[in-house]
Amino acid sequence: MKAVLTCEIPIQRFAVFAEMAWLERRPELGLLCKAALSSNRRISNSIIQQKLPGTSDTGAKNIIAWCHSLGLCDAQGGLTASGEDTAESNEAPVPEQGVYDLWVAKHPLLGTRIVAALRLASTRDQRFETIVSLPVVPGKNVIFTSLVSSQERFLLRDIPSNSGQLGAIIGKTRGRCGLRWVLDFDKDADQWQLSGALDTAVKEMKPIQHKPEHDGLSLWPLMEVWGAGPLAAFGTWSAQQRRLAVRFSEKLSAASQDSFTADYELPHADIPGKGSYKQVKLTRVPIGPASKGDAQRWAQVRLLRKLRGEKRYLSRGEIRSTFVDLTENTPLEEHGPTLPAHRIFMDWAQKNNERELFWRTVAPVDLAPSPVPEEDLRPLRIGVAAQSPAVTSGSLRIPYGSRWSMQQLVSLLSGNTSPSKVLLCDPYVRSVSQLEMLGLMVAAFRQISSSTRVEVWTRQDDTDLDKIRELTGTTPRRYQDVFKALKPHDRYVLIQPGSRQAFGWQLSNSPLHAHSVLPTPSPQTALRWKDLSGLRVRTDSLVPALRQWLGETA
Amino acid sequence: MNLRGRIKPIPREHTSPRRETTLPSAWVQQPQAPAHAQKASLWLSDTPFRPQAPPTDGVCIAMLQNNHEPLITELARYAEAGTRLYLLTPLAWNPPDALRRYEGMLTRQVLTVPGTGIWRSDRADLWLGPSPEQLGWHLHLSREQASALRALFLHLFWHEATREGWVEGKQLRLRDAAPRPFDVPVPSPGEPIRLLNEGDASPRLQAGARLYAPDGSYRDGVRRLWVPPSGKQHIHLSRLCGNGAEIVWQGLGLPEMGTTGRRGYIRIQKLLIELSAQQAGEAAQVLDRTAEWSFRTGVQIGAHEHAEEKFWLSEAEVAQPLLPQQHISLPAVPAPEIRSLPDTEPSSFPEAAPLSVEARYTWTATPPRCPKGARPDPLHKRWEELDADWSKRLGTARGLLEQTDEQRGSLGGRFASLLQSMMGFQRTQKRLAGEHDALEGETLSHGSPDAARRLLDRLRALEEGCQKLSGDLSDKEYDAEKEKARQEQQEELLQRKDKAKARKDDALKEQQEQQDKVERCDARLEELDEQYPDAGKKERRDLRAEKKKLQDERKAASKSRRQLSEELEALEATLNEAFTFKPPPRKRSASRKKGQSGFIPTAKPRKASQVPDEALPQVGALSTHNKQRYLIISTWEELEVGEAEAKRLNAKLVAAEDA
Repeated sequence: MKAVLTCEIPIQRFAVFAEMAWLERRPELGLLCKAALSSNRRISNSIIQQKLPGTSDTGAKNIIAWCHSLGLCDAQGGLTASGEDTAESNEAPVPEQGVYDLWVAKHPLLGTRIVAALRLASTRDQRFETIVSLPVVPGKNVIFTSLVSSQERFLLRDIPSNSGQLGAIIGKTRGRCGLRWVLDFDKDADQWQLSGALDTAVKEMKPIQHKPEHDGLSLWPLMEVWGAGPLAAFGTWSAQQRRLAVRFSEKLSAASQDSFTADYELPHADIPGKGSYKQVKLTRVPIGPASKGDAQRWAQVRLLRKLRGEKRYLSRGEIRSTFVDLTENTPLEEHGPTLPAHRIFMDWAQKNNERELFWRTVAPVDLAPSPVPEEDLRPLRIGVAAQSPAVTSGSLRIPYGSRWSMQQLVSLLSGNTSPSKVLLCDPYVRSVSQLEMLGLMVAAFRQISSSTRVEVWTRQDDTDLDKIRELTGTTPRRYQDVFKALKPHDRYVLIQPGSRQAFGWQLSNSPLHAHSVLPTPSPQTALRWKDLSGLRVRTDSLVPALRQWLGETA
Repeated sequence: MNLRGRIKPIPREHTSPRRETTLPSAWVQQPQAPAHAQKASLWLSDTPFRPQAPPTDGVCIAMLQNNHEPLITELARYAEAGTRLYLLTPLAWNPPDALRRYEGMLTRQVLTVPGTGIWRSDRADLWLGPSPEQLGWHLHLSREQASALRALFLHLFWHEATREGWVEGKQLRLRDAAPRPFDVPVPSPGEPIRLLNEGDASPRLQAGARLYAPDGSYRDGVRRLWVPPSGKQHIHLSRLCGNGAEIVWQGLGLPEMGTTGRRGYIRIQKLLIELSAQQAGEAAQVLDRTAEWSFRTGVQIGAHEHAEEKFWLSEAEVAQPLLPQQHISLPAVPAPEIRSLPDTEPSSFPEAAPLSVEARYTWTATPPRCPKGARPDPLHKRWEELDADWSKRLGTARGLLEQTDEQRGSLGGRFASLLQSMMGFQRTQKRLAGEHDALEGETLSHGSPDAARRLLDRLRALEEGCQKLSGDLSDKEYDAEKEKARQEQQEELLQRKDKAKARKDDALKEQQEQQDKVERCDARLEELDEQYPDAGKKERRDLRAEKKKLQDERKAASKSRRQLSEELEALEATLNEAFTFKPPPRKRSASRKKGQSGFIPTAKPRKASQVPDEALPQVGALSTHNKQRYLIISTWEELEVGEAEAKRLNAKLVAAEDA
């Protein structure tokens, strides 16, 4: 999340008789100041005599006095801020006195700052009547950098006056200066920068060249202030969740719905002690549903958009899995949104004349090779405790949210045999989680038989084949090499027992589509599963490449 | 046979009975197809499909090879009830009006739909026929078959479809088929309904089975084989008959179907349906019916002479009834000789059509003809050349006679002294003209070679007589002309002497005058020469002028005196000239002597005319082709003479080309 604050800072221009100092390159003074920094921040006789051999004590005292007069140290040699700057930049202020044309900006964020200064030639025009009281007094002995020439630095040492009345001749200026302050809440950092142009030249406006600065403002407390203030019009700020709870609306953009962030513009916002700002832009503000109803609508709208974008048929299992992907680990999850029952979903699509969505989702249920389990057709509520896996001799079903270990799955797939070879056909074996699950699967098989050879056939897109080889010990093969044009849709696990008839499983989802809540799971660790259905298939019904693999291993 | 007039081809015919002939094999069609009583059946039926109540679960799937009317009607009824219809259709399928706007229909299209059928959770049926356009039968499927049909449908629907569509905006919108949601296994070989691979054979049938094979494929061990009649495979079908199989056919409108009564199958191209026991039993009842066609061996034609049956023989294109009489028109038969033309017939008669009861052959006997490309025999040309030479020489003799006649008349007129001689020449000429007229009436080619030679001898004598007459006349003429010239030359000499004599006196006188003039001039010139030295200037000038004038006059007179002297010498020579005769030149004539050279080259002496050794034929024309002579005659009347002449000329006797 970021906030962008902007405002215009007025520029005042006046001529004044003053004592100033321009910073000039003085490496010998820089050397002394550097030495002083490492020696109690004090310029002493010994340091001077060390850096400038042959200098007498009197000479050293004179140097200290001179440094004092330049403002680098106090009378006793203690370094000032200016002295520290000299130590860093090797530049020291060289005092001078005269009449100067000053451009001064004043704002709570940057104080009263001379943004540009020009020396003026003295004249005898005797214009005493034009002298008025000095409108603003810039900070003394503060090093300013010219905004039109970043190499030029100066400071105001004093403004001599009679009877303490500071006078100046007010000049007209066309200068303009804008402030842009960016608050980055994610990085807990801020940065501001000035921009614009100043009329320091006779014929042209010189652009402002300002190196960004930061203020060090504490941001999240500020968000609490805004949440109770201008942001309340958009939702309820939760300081604990650092999220804005909003009512779901169709006006919420698709990108916001999916990213759970939104952009807002606050008409007016104050930063205590740092000024007031208008039209404050807040980007990527974390948002979430304000209520369960909002979460339900939010989840359904996201699901529909996802399904409409899929130009393919989606089985009920894929829809359930998609709904879980769209809601789990999002602000929606805590509200427990529910995927409607197939019948409800079908009626809705028909009623709303969503013909493509209707057929893409209904046909796979009507024309499934085996009847879709009634449980899958029922509503699916996120966060509700799952049923136990259902297992028969020829089928398995691991419903969403089940707690099964990889070892249990592998034992079921092996069917009380000791596989000598196992083939996993899965198009996606690429994410960290999937590779972790593959490692668990390999380990689980080898707990049954330590000599089990596990092979993987997968797509190559973004797949780290070396990583798979490292996990399985075998070289993975690519779908396009083994299947050519007959690439399967489902996942397959083929089991080749040592001496018994080979067999295979056709799985609706990836067996690697589980995840562990523990950082270092073992094959016995209970995993969280998505929907997974499997059917034990005859080998003669497999595609030729899989039959060939079985033939090779038989 | 009385043969007269022009020689022409003669039409002929021959009849052969075939009632005892036996056909080795034939499909025999009964005059009227047997009628089959329709029997109620539970599974396999060709009665109209009985409408069913819409499925209770609201789902129906169907395979459509085309818009088969009974199936479309059934689907339309389901659509009215809101049933979701899943249709597997071929590419370019055009939805029927009944379903065109039905939104509850999803179709996916494949290249080829294997069959036409319907599946619902409580019932499944397939429509059967020899082709997708002829589906007159329907098969109610068993539960296992229905399950297999659904599995096959799902595999094709999800795996093989390339296009899909549903009704949107009141019209069917097709698009590329979207990816499937899952894998559907290929139906295994054990399924009762499955697809066969290309080239797979149909299931084996046990002995005693019935097989309905509309594609004509036959199989051993079948008790009753239904194959369409044709002219093919008769040898194999005969062998099956010999093994006890009954081979029949009637178009039942079924696809390939085999049954033992307890087991069986139906095959629709690649789609195979294994029948249940009940279905196989009903199929056996269908295939045990009497049939319109039957295949038989050893069929005697006479036994079927009066029946209205059709026979489809081996290698025949169509079935045909018996033919009471077959008329076979044979090509023309050439006679070896003109005389044998009336008895000419083919060396053999072709086999008649197998289904003919009697065969009648007709043909035309044609006379021998001169081959194309034959040319007139050279004998004709030689005789023609001889006749032409004969005429030319007669013409030349005629011209010579006419010339001598003119010459003789002219001489008589010019030289009266020759009149007596001319009388003799006239008699000779008359004799020669009479011989010429006699020879002019003869033609050498009309006679024999000897007669021709005699005529040529007479002609040669005539030519010599004419030549001699002409020479004699020329000699007489020249003698007369020479005498006349002598007289003329003498007279001319006398005349010239007379003229010279008269001129001589005048010339002498003129010569003296000129001499005198010369002398006078000489005298005066001497005087002038004497006067000149004494004369004055003016006088001298006059003297010089006179002297010059005198010199010119003397020169002219001297020249004239010299010319007159020369003339006098010539006159004197004429007066003294003697007579000398110069004969006139002889006129060039045809009788010029040999050896005289002339501007026109002398023609080579004529060769004696060659008379052919053979006479031309008395009838017909003689031609030659490839060193073979042909004597061409046109009428039967020329036959006798023609045969003799052909023998004489060593020629073959043939008829004219237009015969």
